[in-house]
Amino acid sequence: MIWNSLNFVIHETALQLKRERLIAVATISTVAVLLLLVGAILLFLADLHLSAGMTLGEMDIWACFDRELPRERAMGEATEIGRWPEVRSCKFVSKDEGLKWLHRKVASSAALRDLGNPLPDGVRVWVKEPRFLAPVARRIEEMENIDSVRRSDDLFRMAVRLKQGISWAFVIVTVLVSVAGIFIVHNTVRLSLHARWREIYIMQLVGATRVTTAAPFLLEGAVHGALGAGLAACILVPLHMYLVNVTARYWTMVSLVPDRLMPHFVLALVLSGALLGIAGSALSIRRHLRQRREWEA
Amino acid sequence: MAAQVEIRNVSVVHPNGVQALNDVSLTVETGEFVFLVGATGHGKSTLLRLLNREEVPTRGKVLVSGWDVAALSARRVPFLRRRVAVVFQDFRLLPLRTAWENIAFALRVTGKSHRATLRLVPEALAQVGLLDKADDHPSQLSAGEQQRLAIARAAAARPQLLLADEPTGSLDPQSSAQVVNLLAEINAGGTTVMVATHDPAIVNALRRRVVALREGHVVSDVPAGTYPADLMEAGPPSPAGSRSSSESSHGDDGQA
Repeated sequence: MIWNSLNFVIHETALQLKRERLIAVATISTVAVLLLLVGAILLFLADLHLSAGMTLGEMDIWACFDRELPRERAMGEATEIGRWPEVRSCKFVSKDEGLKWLHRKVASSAALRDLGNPLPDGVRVWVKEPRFLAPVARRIEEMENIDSVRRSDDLFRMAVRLKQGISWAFVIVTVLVSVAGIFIVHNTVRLSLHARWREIYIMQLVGATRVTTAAPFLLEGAVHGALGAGLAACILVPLHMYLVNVTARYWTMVSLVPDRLMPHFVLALVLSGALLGIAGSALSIRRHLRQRREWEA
Repeated sequence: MAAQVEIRNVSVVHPNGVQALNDVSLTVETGEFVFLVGATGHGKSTLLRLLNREEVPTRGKVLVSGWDVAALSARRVPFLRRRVAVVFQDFRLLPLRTAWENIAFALRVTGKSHRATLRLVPEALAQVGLLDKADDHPSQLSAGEQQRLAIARAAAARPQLLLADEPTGSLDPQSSAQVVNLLAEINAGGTTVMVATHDPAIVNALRRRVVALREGHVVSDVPAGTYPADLMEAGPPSPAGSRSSSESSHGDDGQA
């Protein structure tokens, strides 16, 4: 029985898609344009998110030990910090290594060379997650033999704010586009329902259940949505891959969604399109059947 | 014989205040053939619409195959309609589908398998003499053929009860006779048939049970009767009295 109904639904959907080609083309292209826009915005937001995440991931804490602290003890303390659960890695930086780094940074000026080595031994710490940055820095500061701790607070705050902003933008864009998409599919399916009111009436008259009556329209909506999304993906994916190529060559500090994640993106876009289609169709058919019931009453 | 239809003290008042049926009681046994006669607007179509739950009574009870029709949940209504088939004056065929597809559609919608459809559709077409027109669209068929196709669609799933609302209303006398004979043939196969009509010719030709309605009341019920002579002069129902507006809005004028 279920198989028979399923068979009927698939057959009817295919027939309608074939019969109402113009309506199908109109819906698919409208959904495609909409999802092209959404996909582009979402990809851009994902790229920004990733870049902000990378900036946060690269953030570290520099701590200088007291100058009088013997090197062995300083190395021991660095090893101890490395064992903390929030710490991803920890590197002891001797004052000689620090000086070399300083020379590289300030182009080895003669004045600096005359000063000797004013630097203490230090430690460079990378945390597992950006949220651990502040507590780990505080804990290092509270250690007995630490002279000073430095971390890039402003950059950190900016990156966190950017990530939060992007998350919100993500939600808002998704909601707005979902509503617009549902509205578009809803209106197209209404056209289709209007054209097929007699079939729906006959279906109900001969004893089709509500599910059997609605199912071909839901499937039709899903197909429209998925095809529209597929079309959008066909344009977006090659464009983004090209962009990834270009940025990899010229802007190494920018991190974009890698190509290997594109199949996931396409799948998500197609599923979203299908869901939009189903939601729009469900709205239309529900309204149509309700109006019909009210009319009959 | 068990009762196929039991209508007990049923009244129907439409939302606009018009009384379509007034305290009607009627029992139809399984396998019976019943004509509901009366002028336009006197409650015939409303009575038929109660039986497949296109309408519900304001008062009283309607039982079809023992099911209390008004008490059925929306979920159960489709299962009632699989037992109760309907034929209309305006055929209500699907214009974009062929004769074969019109019947197959009605069968598939109710979950009949492809194999069963392949068996039942030619049987139904053969019964109404349209097997050679299986690939024709309704627009390629005459009015009589369209009505026979509508009957084939209704009868294909072997319903227990077949309701025909003015089935000869759009047909010439010859086609009308064919349609009525077809309904009688279906009845002979065991299906209960109820025909609403104001066509005396078909009623007199068949001589079956005749239930006459006037202004929403059953005024006569004759086991093997003819069209009541007093109804032939009956005009439209009186404007202020109890009568049916549903026939003009839903029934005789074509509902959907």
